[in-house]
Amino acid sequence: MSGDQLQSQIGPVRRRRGSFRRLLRKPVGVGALVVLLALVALGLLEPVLAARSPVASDLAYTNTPVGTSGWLLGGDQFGRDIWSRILGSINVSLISALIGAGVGMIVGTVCGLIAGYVGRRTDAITSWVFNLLIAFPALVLVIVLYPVVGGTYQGMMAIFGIFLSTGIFRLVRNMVIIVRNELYVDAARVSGLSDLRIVGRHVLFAVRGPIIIASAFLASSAIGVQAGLAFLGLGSTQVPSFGAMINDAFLNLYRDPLQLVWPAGFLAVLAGALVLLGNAYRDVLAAPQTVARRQPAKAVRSTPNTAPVVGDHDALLSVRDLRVAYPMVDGSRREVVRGVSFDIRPGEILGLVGESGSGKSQTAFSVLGLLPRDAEVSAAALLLQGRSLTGLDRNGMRAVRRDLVSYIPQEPMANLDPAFTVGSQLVEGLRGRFSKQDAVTAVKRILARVGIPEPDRTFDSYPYQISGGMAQRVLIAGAVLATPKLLIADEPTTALDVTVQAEILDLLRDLQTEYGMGVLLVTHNFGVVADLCDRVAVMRDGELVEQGDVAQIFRDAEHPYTRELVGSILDEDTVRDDVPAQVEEHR
Amino acid sequence: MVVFLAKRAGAGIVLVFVVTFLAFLLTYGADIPVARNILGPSAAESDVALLEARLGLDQPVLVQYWSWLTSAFGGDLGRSYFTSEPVSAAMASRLPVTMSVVVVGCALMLVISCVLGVWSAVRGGWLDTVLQWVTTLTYVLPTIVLGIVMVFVFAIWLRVLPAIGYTSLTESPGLWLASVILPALVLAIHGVAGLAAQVRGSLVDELGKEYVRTLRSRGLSEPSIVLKHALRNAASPALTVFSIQFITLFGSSLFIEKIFALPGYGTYTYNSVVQGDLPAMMGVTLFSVLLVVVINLLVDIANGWVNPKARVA
Amino acid sequence: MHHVRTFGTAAILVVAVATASGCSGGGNTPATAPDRLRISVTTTPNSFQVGAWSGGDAVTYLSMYDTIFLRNANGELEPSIAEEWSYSEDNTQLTLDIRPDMEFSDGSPVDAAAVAASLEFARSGPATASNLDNVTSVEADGEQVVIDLSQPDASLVPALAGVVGVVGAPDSLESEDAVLNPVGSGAYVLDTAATTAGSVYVMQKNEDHWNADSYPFDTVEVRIIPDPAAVQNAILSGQLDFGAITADAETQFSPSQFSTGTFAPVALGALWIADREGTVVPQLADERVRQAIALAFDREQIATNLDPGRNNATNQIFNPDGDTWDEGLLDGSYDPDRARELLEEAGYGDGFALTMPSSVITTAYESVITSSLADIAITVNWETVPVQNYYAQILAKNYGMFFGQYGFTGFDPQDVKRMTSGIFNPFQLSEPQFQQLTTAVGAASPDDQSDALGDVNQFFLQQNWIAPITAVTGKYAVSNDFKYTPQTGTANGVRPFAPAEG
Repeated sequence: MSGDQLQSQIGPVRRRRGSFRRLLRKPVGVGALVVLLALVALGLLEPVLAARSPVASDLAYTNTPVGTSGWLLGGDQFGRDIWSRILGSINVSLISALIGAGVGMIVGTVCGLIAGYVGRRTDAITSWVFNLLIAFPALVLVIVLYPVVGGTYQGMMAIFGIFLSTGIFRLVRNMVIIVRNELYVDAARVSGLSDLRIVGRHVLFAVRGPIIIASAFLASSAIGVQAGLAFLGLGSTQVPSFGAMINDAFLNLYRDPLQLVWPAGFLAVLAGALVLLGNAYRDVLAAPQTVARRQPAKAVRSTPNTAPVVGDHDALLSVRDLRVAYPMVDGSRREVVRGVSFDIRPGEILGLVGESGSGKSQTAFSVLGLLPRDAEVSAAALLLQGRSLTGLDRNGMRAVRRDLVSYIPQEPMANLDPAFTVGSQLVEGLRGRFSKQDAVTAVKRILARVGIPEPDRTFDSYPYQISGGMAQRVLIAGAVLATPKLLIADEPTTALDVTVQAEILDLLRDLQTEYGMGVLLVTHNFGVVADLCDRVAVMRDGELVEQGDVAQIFRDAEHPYTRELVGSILDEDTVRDDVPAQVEEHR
Repeated sequence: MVVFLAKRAGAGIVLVFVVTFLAFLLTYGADIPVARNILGPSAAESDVALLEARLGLDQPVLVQYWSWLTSAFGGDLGRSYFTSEPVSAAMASRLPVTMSVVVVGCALMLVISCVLGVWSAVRGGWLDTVLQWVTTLTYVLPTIVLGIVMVFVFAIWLRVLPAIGYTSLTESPGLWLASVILPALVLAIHGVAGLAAQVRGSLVDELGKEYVRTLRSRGLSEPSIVLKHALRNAASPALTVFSIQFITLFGSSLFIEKIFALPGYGTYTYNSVVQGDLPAMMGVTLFSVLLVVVINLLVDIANGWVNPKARVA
Repeated sequence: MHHVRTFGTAAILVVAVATASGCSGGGNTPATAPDRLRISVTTTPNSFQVGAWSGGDAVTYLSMYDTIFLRNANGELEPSIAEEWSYSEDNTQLTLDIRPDMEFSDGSPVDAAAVAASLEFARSGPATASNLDNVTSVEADGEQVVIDLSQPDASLVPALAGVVGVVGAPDSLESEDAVLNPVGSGAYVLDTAATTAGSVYVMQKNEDHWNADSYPFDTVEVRIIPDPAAVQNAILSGQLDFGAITADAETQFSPSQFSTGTFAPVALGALWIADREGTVVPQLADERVRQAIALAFDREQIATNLDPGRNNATNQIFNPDGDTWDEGLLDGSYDPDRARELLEEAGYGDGFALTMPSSVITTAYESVITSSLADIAITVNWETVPVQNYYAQILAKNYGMFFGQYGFTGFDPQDVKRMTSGIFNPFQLSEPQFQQLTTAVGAASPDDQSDALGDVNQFFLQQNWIAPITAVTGKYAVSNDFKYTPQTGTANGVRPFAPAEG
């Protein structure tokens, strides 16, 4: 199992405390764990539970059926007790798993630590050796060495474990390199504590999650391989094993098919429990939002049982009592947007201002219908051009997004699909209404309009080939391409260089004028507000504390919070009289 | 890109040398009494000595390796000790069999995994859990059991497909498909769990990314976003997994071949190793290593197509 | 083929899991016309060269070559390449009259010179040399071939009815091509276009064969299928006309389509008590100990309960189907009380322990051997040996006793020689009395030979070099379009098969 395969099976991982507790809360996790423990218990209790030795045969009991007194699962064609053999096989499988996964883990971890830490040369050699291991046909080697290890399954599992170590090796090695690079810069400042201990502690702490998951899969793999080898006849006849039992049962298939069910069933359950446990633990460690963010949001609900509140049908966008809440892990709900109301008139630019966490982005996404699936959105009124958006199904919202509302994101590079050319991504949005030729022409024209110097070349470029500023222009182009009525811009200049910011703002202003769009501009920067907006709404903790004309807010805000925000803007006339903050010595 | 590939190819060739030499040493060291095994229990020791001389088994190991190596360069991989068949001819006749099963199996696996993975990634919920259970079950259920059940149902009971044997594609496409579909299906069902989980995981990651939200903001249809955009980006890690699974399937085709009596590469490998059939064993080792090197190169190329950034790497 | 490759029967196999295959040319044509016979064997032919056949089912080999003699269904010798033959007075010179007008498949004549050349070549062939070790010279004399022996050897003539006696064209003897494509004078010729080595061998009838009428099939297709379950499935699905089946599976073969039956005995399953000088296990040097071991086995119960239908009780080394075997001699073969007495007499009343090698060859019988010997206070420790090293380990004199399966040739004199050579005599002990008895068999006239063999039988029953436990057989199924006549031994070619009458 290579590092990539292992990594992909494990997925993105974040260290979380109490992950074991959360594992216990998942039904799959608990179930798998219980099954596994039950099987281990059975194996440990073999001396007590087994009626006789797994290799002893009594010809009088050949093929005796299930339930014969003293023969719980019957006898096989050699007169051996199937139940005793099952118990013995469980032990063999568990030991195989321990040896195989154990050797894999230890060898992989140790070699990974060495390769990542010692130096380039060692790393190169070690990595090359492990590449060799991956390339070497494992089955061939195990069979060849079978006589060398005296035909014992423990020996063969140890050899196989070395092959299993390749995935862990890569995992640990990569982690060591990352950590080492982080610390390298600070190496000079560190005194006393050796690098090795730091690396060791950090790395082992970071990889313990993936390693636990990996060991579950490796264990399952080892069990499967041991069974397979036993099935082929490679292994001592004196050792009971699921593989050997399955082989025996095949030859006896027509006489007593039930004899096949026991070893196949137990094998499947044992290996399955390990795999499911690994899966469950991986899900626990992965970020929970990934589950929720997959699908587009549910429809916006109309707020029930309030007094009829009517939105402004003449406004471009009219929002009344918008509420957004998320269910918490402990069952409660957390409201992030609490009853926000505002209007945007056609051609008007409304700035939505607030600090991080104020709910302004959530508000913007509500209008777009792009909140995560588990968001609960409701509004007394949500009107776009007089038409209600509440209760619109997904297709309805999609049409709205296609024709009426557009979005400009904050991080340009993260918002372009890296696998497609810039041009093709933009063209795709037009394909419903235009022919391919016309769409291409339209896109190129827009690219020129947003100030991209060589539209044709950019059209054929991939996102990684253009700069951040260019990318933002592309995204702006994508937004206005469909001639929307309402443009929602989420901090469009925050991620850009200062020099580029001004250009982008100019561009936005020009486009707004040209297309006559209404704009909802989300920002935390009052400078941008002053530059572009007609009106401004201030949010704090999910509530709209004040809204009004830009000039009026700047001159004479009513709400103390607004005043605080305005007051914190720096300009050349203001001299700050608060004490500068201390910059902490960065260790 | 070309330079990159050339370097990888060079490293691959070194790998080939090292692996074949090690394999040779190991098999030689295992000291299997080939001549005695060929002639059987009743043969006299004098007979055995005659055969050993004929096969060149009485020569020192390095001499044997060198003669193998020099012949191999000329394209002659020698003859099997046990079947007297030229190794290259034997492999050439057996590879298509295993290839057919593995390729068809992988194709099936790919399709099923994508469908399941996409479905499970997009829908989630109880379906996700059910699919996880089912795929885990098919994963741990021994392929052997699955194979035998298939043979019983389709070949013996329904008599619609052959129980054993292989018809080559050039001979009759219809019969060829009939002879490989059952084993391919068994392999596919077994491998779906891992690949579907991989597709699901990667896709879930992709769908959580920002550009997906931006694409949605342009009103693109969900199928287009999931299948055209997200899946393509999710393909890169999945490709690596898939390539490894392909090689693994190749190696574990042995069990399938045993049940369906397919004259395949896996069985040839196993027998050559177990019997100590040195020429055959060297042939298969050589091929295995070459296969890994080639597949890795192909994955690099495919990655370059899927992930444009990788093209200049 | 009619040889049972039962799970565990591996004495004449190289390894239990041998080269696999299925079909590639020839296709899965159903047997609508019984002029085509489709059968299978478990091991790939090693080499078709004269003197190189390595054992295992020789149906292909013996179909493409003629042998000096033929073995008929009753186990008697019949003329083949040799039309007539006679021994000299003292049985040290064998004269063969070569049948005229026979041709090899390359057109060259099968004359005395060709026969002599072929036999001479076989004298240095790895698979045949020791079978011809008593031959001092082979000469062609006109239309006769004269073989001189250093001493009488009763196994020679039977051997010449099998793979030892194949005759190949002189030009082909040393050629590499003969390894895969032999030049013989047999009833069939290899169809190289339809054949894939290691997978399926297709043979076409040679209409000019001297005995063409005895071979009813125009085409014979032999597939290599090592897995017994796959063989069964192939018969059931109509891809094979005949094959070995397990007793449990018999009910699957409905009488409307198939007939089932039991093979003639295939192999002897026995304990070879080889360490008669007590090198490894001192106790085995004592005759009484060996006798006790032989008395410990309830052969009837084993035959009834262990894999029913596969085992037949026997305590004699000879083939139960042959003339020498005597059912009456079975009485009293199981007597654990007497066995314990003997051990007591020998001074081992408390029993002792010994180690035996374990591999796929022994698996099926291990439990019953362990229990039976435990019953007379002998503890068996089974030591796992990888099957490919099994013979070598025994030859290395690591074990005083081992369980083996010896495949019957179909000729009692030949069996005697083969079951006491190679691994069956790892300590290379040569006993004068035994030598005398075998020479007597060789020197005997055809009328007296059965008595001489009877003496050999008695010798073994007293000396207990070998403790036979079972004669291994098995079941077969054959499609109702065909008829199969069970015959023992390895020298039968496709002659047991015929289209069903009517």
